[in-house]
Amino acid sequence: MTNHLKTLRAEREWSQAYLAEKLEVSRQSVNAIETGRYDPSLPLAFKIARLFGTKIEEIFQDEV
Amino acid sequence: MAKEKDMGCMPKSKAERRYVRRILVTMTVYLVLVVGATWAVRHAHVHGWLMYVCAVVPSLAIVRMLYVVGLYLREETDEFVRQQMVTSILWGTAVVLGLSAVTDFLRGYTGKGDLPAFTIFIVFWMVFALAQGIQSLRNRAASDD
Repeated sequence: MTNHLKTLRAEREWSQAYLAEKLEVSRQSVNAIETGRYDPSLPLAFKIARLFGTKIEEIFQDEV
Repeated sequence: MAKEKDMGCMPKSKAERRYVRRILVTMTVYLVLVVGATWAVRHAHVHGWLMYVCAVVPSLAIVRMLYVVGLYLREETDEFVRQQMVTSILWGTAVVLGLSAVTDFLRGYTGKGDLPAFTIFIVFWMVFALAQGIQSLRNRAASDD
């Protein structure tokens, strides 16, 4: 799965730490998601989408 | 905004801080129980059922350590951190199961391969710590990109 999390975060000039705080996760979790090393659960993906005011599929794309 | 450095060795979440505190308390209790039980068996010359109690009591702290790990997994809300913990537990479990399989076969076929007492438990925690360290280094390497 690929994602645009880093781009969305950069557009808002948010740091990883700030985003992590908003999502109530660790900064390493945000980094792992951004770098594609970890795919978030559905609840966390929904939370991310809500925070950026967009749909999950506009942030995360299936590689198939 | 500036990119903050991750303090890799510092406990981050409340669950992680509770986990570290509980582990430290449990290990302290374990040391006290081991020293106490050893002293009782060697110097107070306990015998009969009391000796069995002395033998079993330190292991309760070990069981408590496993319970503390389970508690942490239940309390940790960060799913990525939780997944890394589970990965480390699986590494530890895989190595000790592999090791015990090899030594069991060795014992069965050659009569040799007895491991010193507590080897399995110590190896489990060493591999667990190694896996945690490797994952932490990977996280830091990825953060430095």
